[in-house]
Amino acid sequence: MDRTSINIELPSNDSLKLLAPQKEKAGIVNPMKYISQNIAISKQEKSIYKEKFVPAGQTTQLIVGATPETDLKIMKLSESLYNNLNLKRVYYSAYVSVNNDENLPTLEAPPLLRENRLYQADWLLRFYGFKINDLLDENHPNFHTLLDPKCDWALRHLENFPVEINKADYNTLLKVPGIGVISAKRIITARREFNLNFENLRKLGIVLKRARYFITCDGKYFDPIKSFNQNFISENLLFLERISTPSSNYVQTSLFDTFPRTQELSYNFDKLLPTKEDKHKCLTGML
Amino acid sequence: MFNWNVINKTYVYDGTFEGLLTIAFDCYIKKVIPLRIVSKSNLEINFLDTIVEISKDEVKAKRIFDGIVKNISYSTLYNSYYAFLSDSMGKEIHILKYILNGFMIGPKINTMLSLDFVFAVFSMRKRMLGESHRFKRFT
Repeated sequence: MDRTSINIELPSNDSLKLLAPQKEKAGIVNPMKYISQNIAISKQEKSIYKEKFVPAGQTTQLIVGATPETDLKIMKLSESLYNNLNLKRVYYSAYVSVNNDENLPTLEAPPLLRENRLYQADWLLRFYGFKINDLLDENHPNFHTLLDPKCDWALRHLENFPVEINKADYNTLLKVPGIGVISAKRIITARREFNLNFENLRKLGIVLKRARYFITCDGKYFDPIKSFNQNFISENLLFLERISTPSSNYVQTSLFDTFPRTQELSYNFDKLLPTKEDKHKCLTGML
Repeated sequence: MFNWNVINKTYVYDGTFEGLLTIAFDCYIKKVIPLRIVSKSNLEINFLDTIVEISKDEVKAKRIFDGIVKNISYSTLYNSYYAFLSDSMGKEIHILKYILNGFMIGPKINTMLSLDFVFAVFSMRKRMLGESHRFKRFT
């Protein structure tokens, strides 16, 4: 046996009662505890037994979107799983509505963006030294739709920035949006001999799309005119994210459509994009 | 640091690692760096280049091989060999610069990632090792 996975399926006791009444919280958590204890024991008695108990560790899985839990609640659950039961990973899967039932919500599309944000936050918990209370709180129980969790955190904690690339330690570098484990390690090796500037960072393969707003190189900010302030950064980051999202509602037309599908695809970020009337106003100068 | 003459010549070698080390030996003696290094199989002849053919010399290659381990570091030898196994364009000139600079600077060359040839060698090595790892699933 390589690894075991006991699936939690639903993130809280109430939703378990609602959607899976045959399952109980104790019936899921107790076997998980048993496995984590046995893993710890077999680590201790490595010299006695040749075979490790569950060598690849323990995982679990959650369904996101079927019940009204917030991201904060889900992430708190997985944080406690990581801390108390030493899980290797928690998998999140977006809910796809197949059956019609009064207890189940009917969703047009599975919440894939939310799943992605949860995975991003999961990595922040495991490898970047974040705690979930830093990322989310009662006032912001869900992740930002346009910005990734780390960017969102950085914009709310601008007192920690800008970070000086040539002096900051590893843990501080990890908290800069756009700099990951590999980039931080590379910076630390490369700066032993030379002071780094933005050109060097680009050559080292570090993505500066988001990072450049939060760092200084030898005390210099990337933009000589604009200085480090919140409005400038958040405007630019949101603008950059908007560029990478589809800029119009073009849809492949079909022969069998009776009605033209123009407004059918409505994303959340559509409100942010300039509409046709906005563009017209820009040209005529009526604001 | 390193400012040897760049000469407008194309060095041709036989495509082996020893051949490349022989070129490194000759460049180290003459204090020059060629504009391009091409293996014999990839050579495209045009009338602008001055082609210098350098044949493999095991004695010279052995001296450079031992010198790398003695004066630079063991990992430098490994890095340059793994980078050599990759199939990217212009790998030879990066490896040559990496080795020759290594003789000038010493083991610190491995941390100077902001020099472009060092970073090129490191990324070639990484890509080559990743590719070879992906082949292991079929064995």
